[in-house]
Amino acid sequence: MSSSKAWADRQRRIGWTLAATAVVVGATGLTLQAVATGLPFDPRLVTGLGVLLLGLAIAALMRGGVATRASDTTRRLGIEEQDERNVAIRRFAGNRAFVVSAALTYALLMWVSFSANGQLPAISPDGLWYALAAAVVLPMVVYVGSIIAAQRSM
Amino acid sequence: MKNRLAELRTTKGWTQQQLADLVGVSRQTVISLERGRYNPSITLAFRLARTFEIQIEKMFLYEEEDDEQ
Repeated sequence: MSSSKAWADRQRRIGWTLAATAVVVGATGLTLQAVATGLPFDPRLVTGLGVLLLGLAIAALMRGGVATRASDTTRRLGIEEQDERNVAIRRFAGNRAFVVSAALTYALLMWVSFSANGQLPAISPDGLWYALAAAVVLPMVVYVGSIIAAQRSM
Repeated sequence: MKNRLAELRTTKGWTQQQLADLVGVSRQTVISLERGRYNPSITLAFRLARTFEIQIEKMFLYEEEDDEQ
């Protein structure tokens, strides 16, 4: 089996695994939203995770599909993924996103801790949900932004 | 670190894509190398030198100020 076909097959395997996981996680989230009450966490977080996994699954399946249709494209996509400059860019972006993620999570943890002692205003359940969503989304934005910036400068 | 990649590639009459295919990197990496924006790993540097059949130090020109970056 050529390395390009193996790459395309791997993308499809990853895609279908993610899709199956997304369906299970998403359905669990929706079911919890519909029937469960008094949960110690917001079930929308589970549904949101399912949607995120579905997005990743679609991206992997699209890569696999494009790779199957054009062998030259497959080879290029494989090279692009393993290209040392691209790997360096992804590592750089990942480090930045990790710092942002850690800082946001730490700040949120501190806020909750101080608010429990009455030193800061308490966060409402909706506010907490949005803060957690921001702690997930912002590092991703930083990751993508850093990749775009590094593509230009590196 | 300076390099003679663009000059050597032009001498061979290769396109950036052809060179990228020969050494197994993306065309964008070849462009970045030629513009001096990206310094290759030692493995890639050796692969490039072997592709052009020259010694590595004839292709990459190390300068003292590289240490300050």
